[in-house]
Amino acid sequence: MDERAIVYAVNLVKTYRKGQNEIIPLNGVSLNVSDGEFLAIMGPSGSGKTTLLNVLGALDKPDSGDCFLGGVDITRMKESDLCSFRSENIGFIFQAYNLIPVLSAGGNVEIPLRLFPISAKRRREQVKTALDIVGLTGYSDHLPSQLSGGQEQRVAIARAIVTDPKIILADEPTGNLDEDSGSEIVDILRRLATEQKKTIVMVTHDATNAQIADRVLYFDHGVLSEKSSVH
Amino acid sequence: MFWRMIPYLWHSLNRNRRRSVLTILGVAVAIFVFISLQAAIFAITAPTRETGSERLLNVREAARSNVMSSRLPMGFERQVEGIAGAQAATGVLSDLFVVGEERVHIFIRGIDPENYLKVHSINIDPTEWIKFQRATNGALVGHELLKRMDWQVGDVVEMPQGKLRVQIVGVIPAQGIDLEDHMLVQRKFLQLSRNADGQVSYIFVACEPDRDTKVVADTIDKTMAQSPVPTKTVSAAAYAEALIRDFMGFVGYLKLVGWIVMGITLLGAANAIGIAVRERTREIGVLRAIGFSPRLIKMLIVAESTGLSLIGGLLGGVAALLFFQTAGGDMSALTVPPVTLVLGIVLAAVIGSLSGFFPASTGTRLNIVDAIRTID
Repeated sequence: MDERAIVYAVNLVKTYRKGQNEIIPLNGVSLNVSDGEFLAIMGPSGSGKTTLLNVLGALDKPDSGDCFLGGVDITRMKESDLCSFRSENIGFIFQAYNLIPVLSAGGNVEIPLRLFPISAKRRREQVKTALDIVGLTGYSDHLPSQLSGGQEQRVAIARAIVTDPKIILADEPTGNLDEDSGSEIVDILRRLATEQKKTIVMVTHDATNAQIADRVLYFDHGVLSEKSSVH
Repeated sequence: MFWRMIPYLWHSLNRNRRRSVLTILGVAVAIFVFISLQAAIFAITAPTRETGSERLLNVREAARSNVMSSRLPMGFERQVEGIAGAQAATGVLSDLFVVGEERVHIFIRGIDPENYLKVHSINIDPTEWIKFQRATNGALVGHELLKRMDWQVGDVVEMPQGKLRVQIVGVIPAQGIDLEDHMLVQRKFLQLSRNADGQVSYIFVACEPDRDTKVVADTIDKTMAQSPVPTKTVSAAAYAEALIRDFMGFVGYLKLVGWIVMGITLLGAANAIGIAVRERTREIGVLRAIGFSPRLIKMLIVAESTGLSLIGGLLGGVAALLFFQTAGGDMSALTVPPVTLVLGIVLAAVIGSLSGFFPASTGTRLNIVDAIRTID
């Protein structure tokens, strides 16, 4: 195992049954992600990218194989322990933003912090900092319904980074956005990687977005292969 | 940790205001109906809760089941008192007046103040009791009746057609018996006013503590069987039940209707709560993804559903209380027993908890990835 790796996965296998058919989105996948690295994983739709991200994020368990995150074997953890592990170590950015509609932007960003025993003042400070990073200063009281798609995704990014996680997992973060909004999101992720030294794993089918990553891996039929990084 | 989630809980309650309001109203209606029916049942069965009724016998004319028409010679008092097992006896003359446009029923007991308390222990202010003993036309009025008729101590009240005219000298305070709805007057005065000299409607008999009341009752009836007026003796509780026997079937029906109405209405509220939770499957998945445990999510959902139902329960309870406090006429005889109020509110909370618990359990058992993929 590479001790500098934040993520270390070996021979991950995951299969699903759909009626008579067996689908194998992960077919012996192994990868390392170094601390502070921005990794993009590309592949066609249905290739297994999201399944890999779900396993790395402890949202799903592989049928076999090991996955270490921050040196902890998350494939062996109980569900009750995984909840607190995710809250402390992983930030998620979903394609569909998945904001809570009844909470304001500030409320959405704050919700992960409420899992921790920190003061309300400190929570407010951290929320403000996160919103500032994504360029949404002053939008704290806006409901998701009052925001554009790009703004919603920025709130989602703020929510993902507010707990200062070890790794940020972004699943097609620009999938529901137009080109301009998508570029803004990708820029924010790039800044998080370079300025904040965040470790980011981004799944995308857009080659242009993948270009900003330090390294790109290509996913096809459950197998991951190296592609040269493009800057 | 739960307390830090209160803002999320609050916003969730306001998520769909119309549905929340309708759920609250549904529960409020169910609890209002439940409490109202329980109040009616409580009032109907009041005579059976006469204090000490298990040791108190009621001797009446065997040929007449209706206490109003029963007549016994006053002399039977001493005969009955002499029977083995009888500690004391006192004759009571009953009367009934229907008063006012609201047709309020006023039950009157003509009692012998010297002996009544030896047989039937009631809680009366000693000063007022002395006034009652001294005033020929004095009356002690049950506090419920006083309130209903808007009378005060000192008032002179006259029954219809001048058949009885009394001065209120005291109040029978709350003590959980039907006297709270009655008027006590001096037996002699009532006998004279109603041309019933030397007669009583029934005789109350207090049994000795270690005696079988059934045996004493049988002995009384056997002894009086050969008298000019044979008697029928039962416990005061059994007598009260006989009085309301026709109502007891109705009471059972009321109880059944009450439970059915409440059940149906609460099921509706439960369904609304269940739908609200199922609509949030994706949100539950996202919360789990960011670190919320299934237990915490269940607690939040159950707290939300319990909160809605509790608000409805409190509304329904307060509405029932206000309704019976402000209702006039014979409805003012109905009161909401505190235990019924508490039971109604607790039931609302329990139904609310269960309504949220089962869909929450289902929602949190779902695989996180599948939950997040759910289309709202």
